[in-house]
Amino acid sequence: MHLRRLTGQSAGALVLATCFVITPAHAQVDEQEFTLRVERSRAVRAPIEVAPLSVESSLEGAGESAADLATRLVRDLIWSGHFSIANALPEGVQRPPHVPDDWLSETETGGDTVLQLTLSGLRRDEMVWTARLLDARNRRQIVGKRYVIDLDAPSRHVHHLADEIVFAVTGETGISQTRIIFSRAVGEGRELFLVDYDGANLRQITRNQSLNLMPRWSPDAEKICYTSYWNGRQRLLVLDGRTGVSNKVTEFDGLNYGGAWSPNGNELLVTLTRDGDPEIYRIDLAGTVKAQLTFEPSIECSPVFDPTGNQIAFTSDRGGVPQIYRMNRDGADKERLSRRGTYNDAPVWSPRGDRIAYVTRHMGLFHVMVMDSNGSNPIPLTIDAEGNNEDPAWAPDGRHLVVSSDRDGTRRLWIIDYETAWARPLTSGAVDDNGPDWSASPVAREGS
Amino acid sequence: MQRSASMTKTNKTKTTLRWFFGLLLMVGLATGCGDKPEAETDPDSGPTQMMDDEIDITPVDEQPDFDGNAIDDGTVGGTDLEQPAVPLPTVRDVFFGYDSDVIDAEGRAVLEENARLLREREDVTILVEGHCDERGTAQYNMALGWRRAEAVREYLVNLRVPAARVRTVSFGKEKPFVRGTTEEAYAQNRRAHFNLSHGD
Repeated sequence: MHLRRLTGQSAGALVLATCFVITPAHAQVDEQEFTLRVERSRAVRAPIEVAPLSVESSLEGAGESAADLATRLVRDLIWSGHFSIANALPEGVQRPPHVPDDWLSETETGGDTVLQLTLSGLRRDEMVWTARLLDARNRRQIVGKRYVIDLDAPSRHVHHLADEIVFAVTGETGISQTRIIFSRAVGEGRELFLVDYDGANLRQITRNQSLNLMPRWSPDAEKICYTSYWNGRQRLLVLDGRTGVSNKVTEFDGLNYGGAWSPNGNELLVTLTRDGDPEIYRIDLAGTVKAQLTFEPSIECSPVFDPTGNQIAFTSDRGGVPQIYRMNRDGADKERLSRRGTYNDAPVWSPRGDRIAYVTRHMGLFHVMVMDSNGSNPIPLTIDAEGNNEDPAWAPDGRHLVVSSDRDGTRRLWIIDYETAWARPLTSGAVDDNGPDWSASPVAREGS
Repeated sequence: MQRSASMTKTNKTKTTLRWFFGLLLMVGLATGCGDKPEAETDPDSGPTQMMDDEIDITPVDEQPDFDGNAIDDGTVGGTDLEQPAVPLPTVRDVFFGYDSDVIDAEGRAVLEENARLLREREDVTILVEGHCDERGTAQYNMALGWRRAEAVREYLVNLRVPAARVRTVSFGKEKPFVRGTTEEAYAQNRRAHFNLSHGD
């Protein structure tokens, strides 16, 4: 049951296969037996050694600034999941919070990869920061960057550098520059909030004292589709991040929710009851119905495109209980995907299209699962956590997910590493957060 | 417990009144009650109680103008007043079992009484809100809440409440009546709530 412990010891292995069986003592209707074979080929973290910081400035506080920048960078690198930091951190550099001990090893050698950071003075509030990631054995520079850093807002450059390093070393998209939109209880309503992937820069987006729910990023991370209420009616809106204006998309009688974007950003999948029953429709951004995709007397909801836009995963209780299905973009070839349990919902396709995360009920609690996109190999991601775990959304790296969970007694957002099941809280305090969605990475948007 | 939807005009009035009485309370505290801070937090104190009792009064800014000095475009005869609104009937909510939109015997009895009160009231618009407890996914509960509200709407219409006056909306599990993770709290949150208002 302890994925993180098992994978934590896998530093040398390229493939780690684990088996575990959960056999509940008391059988319930929704009891599931998980017999799982987990392949974790990417569970190896590349060790990086951080060289002593070089401060070439006589400005007051330059040493602290260098340590602060290095602290932020180390946190981004560790939280990417791709690296471990070998040997002791340089003086003044803080270890990142919420990180397993073995991700920061003081005994392991750094191998050949060394990070050299230099801070040189410019003005009191601006400094030049030089970063080199060196392959010492082959005498090669893997990454070399120079930034002019505003010390009042240093994170932007640090996040950029971290993503550069992730891409240079692994070829993967980094998540350091991504953001998460979600819904938080405020007064009697719920408002949309935006937060950086590391929990910084939390800010409120809507202020209409209504319920604002289920926000979904457009593929270019410029717009957010969400459901809100006005005058006792539910309606679907799209918020333009540039103008700050929300435009109404649909306001049919009854349900107007879902709002999953097509990969090209031109269409949305929604659940409407305009024909007297919850059915899935494909609409354009003007709210024009392009196609009705389901025709059942049951509940049809939770539609989401795959990354190609050719397939759709959704939930239907046509068999009596909610289960996850797939269909083509035009509604053809419907097929049930989830095979276990009596309550499965909230499917989300991974960025590569190879997996689907979803929510299942198990022993009366709700957990996030990940299965192959054909429905096989369901893996429980949160089964060893307390409480309920819901609302999964993938990070653009296809490795992390954000979920809502009341595992510590308060429903807040958590980031989970799919490879290791490692989890860290994203939001804090006495909150009630749900419905998160993870933005695309600006790196991926540039096509690099 | 009386409860109103946050998006209605009534509630805006309530909010305004809350500000108004809050202001009164603050003035009162500043001028004479500074040595009794407990008055500020006591939920049963006078001003707070008044606030809840007066939810349904006409908003001050919509009341007819009784100022004798104001002459409205020369009509010496004044403006005709509309019929004062008849108070809204008090109706009860309907509760549901876990994961169910079936109206049980108790719910049917409640709806028959509600229908009797609402059938002849052509001045009343009925918004049936569907609510769910927190167990379950947001998306599926949103549809389940809609089904609960629709089941109630259909039942009322079958009892000859005009369909044109009954609308439904689902809040899924997003607007619980009671916080908490007990079965009692869950049972309170699985309901169809009636939000009545005058006019269209």
